[in-house]
Amino acid sequence: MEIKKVAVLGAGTMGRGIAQWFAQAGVKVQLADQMEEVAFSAETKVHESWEKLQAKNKFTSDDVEKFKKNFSVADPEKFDQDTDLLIEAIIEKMEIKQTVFSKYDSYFSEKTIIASNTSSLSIDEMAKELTHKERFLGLHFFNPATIMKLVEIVRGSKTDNSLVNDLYQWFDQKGKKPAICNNAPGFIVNRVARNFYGESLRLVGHENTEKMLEVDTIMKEVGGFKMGPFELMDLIGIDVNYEVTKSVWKSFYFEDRFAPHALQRKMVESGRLGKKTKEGFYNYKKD
Amino acid sequence: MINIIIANNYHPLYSKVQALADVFLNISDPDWENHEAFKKPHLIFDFCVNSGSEKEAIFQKLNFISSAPIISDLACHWGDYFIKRYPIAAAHSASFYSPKNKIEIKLIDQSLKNHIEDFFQKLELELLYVTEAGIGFHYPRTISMIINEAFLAYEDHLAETKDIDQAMKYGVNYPQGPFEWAEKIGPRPLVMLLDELYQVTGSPRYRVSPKLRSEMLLGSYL
Repeated sequence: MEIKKVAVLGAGTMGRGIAQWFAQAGVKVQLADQMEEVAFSAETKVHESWEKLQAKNKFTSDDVEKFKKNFSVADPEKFDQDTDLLIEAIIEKMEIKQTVFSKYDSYFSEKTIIASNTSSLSIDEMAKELTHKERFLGLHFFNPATIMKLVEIVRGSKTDNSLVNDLYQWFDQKGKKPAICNNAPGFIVNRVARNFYGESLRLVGHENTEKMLEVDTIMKEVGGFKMGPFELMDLIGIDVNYEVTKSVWKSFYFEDRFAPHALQRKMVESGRLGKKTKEGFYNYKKD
Repeated sequence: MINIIIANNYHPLYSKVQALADVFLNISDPDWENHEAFKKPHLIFDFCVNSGSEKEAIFQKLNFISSAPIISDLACHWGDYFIKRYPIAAAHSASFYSPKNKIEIKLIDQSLKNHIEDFFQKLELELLYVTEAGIGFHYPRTISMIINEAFLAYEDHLAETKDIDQAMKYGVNYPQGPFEWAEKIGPRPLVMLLDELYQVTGSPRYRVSPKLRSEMLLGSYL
């Protein structure tokens, strides 16, 4: 498989990071957003990131020059039609994604692979009105996409299996750590990781900072995790984590093992969302 | 004072602890509770991996033949209950493999602190003191739930085990994949703990994956 040209739709944090990674991987990438200024702002941020990395001797000036040549901003109506791969990284709304994919289904060449970076929505539901379902799949990158090595390659029920295998090989060769999974709620990570948070919340049960600190310490010191569950929820955003939990729980028809905990709701309702509000399970306010 | 170690061969430290025992007793030996050593001053170290009812039966036997303090592996059990009911001097989680060679311990009898620390130092295990044993401490309980979900996901044909391991290591920086972890811990402690959680709480969230249970029963690998 050869991927020489990629189009990324959506210039938010994920889209920008994905486009940056492809440019660094030697692939020509066009980044587009419904709002042109967002795409140009993303380009500026990517350039700044490369310049900072060059200053830290992570990249040479030649590297950065090549990366910049690989990266461009495009009009979403005027992506190159012979692009090898389109990755959508827009808002997580099924109807909006379906509309976008219907448009691009006939716009691109039949050889173009079409992928969504969704973290939670059904690949099959996204593809249901498409003519070429065999070339449609999920490519779930993790934030920050230039650093996190995992790409979940999500196979829809009509996705061509050889395409999935070829993409696995391609990402592997480019230094990513791909993992293939079938289309199911939460894919792999957002499903299997749920109990890291859910069980810890049940262990603590109520607002008890000392106990949370004990759990965080044990999970790092005994389990070898880089962060404890409570400090990680504070970093992710308690509201974000709560929404993912609710979404997976609902998708599994309210199975008990995915159920959110009352403490999550309490924290969200009181506006204590973690580091971003300077208060979550821990207090980040300076005295 | 002598160290009596009681153990069964399901415990991952079964071979290692034998070297530290003044008297080593395998509880599968039908005569173990009649050993002469129980008549001398002693401490009892319990390294048995078993169900809650089996653990209770052992404690009841010990209660009959000895009043010595027990340092017990309660990683798979409702530790808080056993601590209230029996003369437990300390409860620990040594049956759960730790990537950092550290275990949780709830110390009740402070006078034995140095003795217990010396014992575990010889096993190259560092102790982290916790405020309660709960049901399965902190790490054993949480890692069991993560591993169980990975098995359930595999049963659902979500992905192959290697892909699930890869995803958890490189998507959320877990030090090991859940199947790699399961192989190191072994299926028995995982199933014993999840069964105990199910029994004590009554919550179906602790239902054990049939694949994981069959690994324990058949010793088969995925």
